[in-house]
Amino acid sequence: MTNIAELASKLNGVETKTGDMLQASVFEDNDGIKVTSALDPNAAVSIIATDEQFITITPLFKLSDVKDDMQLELSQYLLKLSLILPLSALALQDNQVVLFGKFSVNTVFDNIVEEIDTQLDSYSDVLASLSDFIKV
Amino acid sequence: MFSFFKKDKKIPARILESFDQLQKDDIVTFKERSNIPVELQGQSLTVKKIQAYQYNDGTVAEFVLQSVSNETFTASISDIEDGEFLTLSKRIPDGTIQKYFSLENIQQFIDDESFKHMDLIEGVDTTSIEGWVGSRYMRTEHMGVAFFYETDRRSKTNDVYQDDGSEELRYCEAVGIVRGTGFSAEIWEGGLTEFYFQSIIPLDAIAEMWPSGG
Amino acid sequence: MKILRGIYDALRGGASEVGEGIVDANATRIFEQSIRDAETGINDANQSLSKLKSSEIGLQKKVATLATDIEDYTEKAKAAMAQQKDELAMNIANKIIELTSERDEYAAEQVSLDNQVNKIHKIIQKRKKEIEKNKRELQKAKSYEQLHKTQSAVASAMPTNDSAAKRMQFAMDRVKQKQQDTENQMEANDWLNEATNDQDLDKQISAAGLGKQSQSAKDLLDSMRP
Repeated sequence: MTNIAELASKLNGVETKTGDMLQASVFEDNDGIKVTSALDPNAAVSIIATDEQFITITPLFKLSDVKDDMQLELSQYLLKLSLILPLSALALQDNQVVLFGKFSVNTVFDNIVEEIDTQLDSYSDVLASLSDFIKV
Repeated sequence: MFSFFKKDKKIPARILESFDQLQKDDIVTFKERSNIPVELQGQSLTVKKIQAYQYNDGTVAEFVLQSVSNETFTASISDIEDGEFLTLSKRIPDGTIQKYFSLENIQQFIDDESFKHMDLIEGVDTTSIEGWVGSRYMRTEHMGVAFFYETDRRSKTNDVYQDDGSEELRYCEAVGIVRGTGFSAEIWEGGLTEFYFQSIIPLDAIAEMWPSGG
Repeated sequence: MKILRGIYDALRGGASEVGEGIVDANATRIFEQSIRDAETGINDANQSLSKLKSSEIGLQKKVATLATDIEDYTEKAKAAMAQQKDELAMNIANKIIELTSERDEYAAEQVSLDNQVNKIHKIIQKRKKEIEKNKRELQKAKSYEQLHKTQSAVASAMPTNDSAAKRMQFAMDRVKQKQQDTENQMEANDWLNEATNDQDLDKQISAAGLGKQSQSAKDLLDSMRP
């Protein structure tokens, strides 16, 4: 069984390959970890552990943030984008569009850091590309 | 809470997921595959005993298997570059080695540092050893040192002292030009020499393993 | 399977339904337990089957032994006839008949048992595959359960309450900065390349006796001549 607290402690203060600094803390109910980026205060990756895998999720925006007449075009755009994004994929959770990644609980620590770093990086890339879609 | 329906404490059934989990009285069934010696294809063999060989790089369990016609073979797992294989050995009955190789060849195989290769005697009847032999063998190991244990050493560490019931032996090995065939000689203290034909088969040649009652 | 039908229906239905714990945690736990029970059952069945297999092999051995005995006696009968020991040959022949009958009985039993073993073995193998499929389905259901848990976790994990538009602007600035950093880095690389090449070029020029050269004493004196 994964030790959430241990992983959070290891992630806290890690400097990633791209020069970002991670801050990690355990959720109140001990059911996951929140990881934030020093370079972008808006980005937050949640790590949830099941028996066999980790899931990393970064919320991007709500569907209600999208211009009404652009919903369909946005969906198509996101599907195309999902193929191009490194490591992560795009998904819809309730009405939130999220970035996510999944990997085995036996994955080495460096891979976990890489996934988080990549997801945080993709966060700004994806959001920045949405100027046509988001309601101002 | 008090339960009226107390279940008996049951010993969970053994699950055999890999060859090295076999115990005495377990059964192994081979597939009907052409890369297995003919006499073993589709056959079920019973584990009679587990013994061990200690080499430089560790101890290997050897499983003694008995066929329905009461013939004995031995099997052990070998780590070769692209994975794990099963090495099966069939003993050549004492005094019959010259049916297959000239005594001169055998002498060179064991004694000669500059030994090159030896050939199976031309025209020899290989019906009973079909799938076990190749026409030529190249030596791969010369007078290696090993220790033999008559007991299952899988859960034991090897004693520092020599007085652990093991027997020292020397061994020579060869590979045949037919893929998967091999030959070995074991030379024991006192001079007794045992010869074996070997067949190296992939682990997926095993159709099924049956755990005994335990 | 009830759990998964619920998930797919929920996903088709829309956001609000998905939020309502569509995956029944109890149902998942019961399903998990039933998989464990099925596995225990299969392992027990396998063990019983092994006993049957062991009996079948015992019969194979008996048949093989009797076949060998029959061969032996047949040779002895031939030898007795060759020596014209007719009475002996007759006795041996009777023995052969007895052994053959015994062998045939055992052989029939062995074939029947072998068929039974194979039949049960096939059923067990099929059941094992079903269990594996169910385990995979359970994993999907558990993943979904976990994702559902992330909903509140993610909501509470949002570091800012800024609007999407504001966050998008920040992201655009960040991307611009990243691009600028990349361009700066490329310029730095170009500069470094040029600088390295210039040094090479200077060396080449110097070697060819061209360009700025350090003045020799002779040249200096020549220049001083009127």
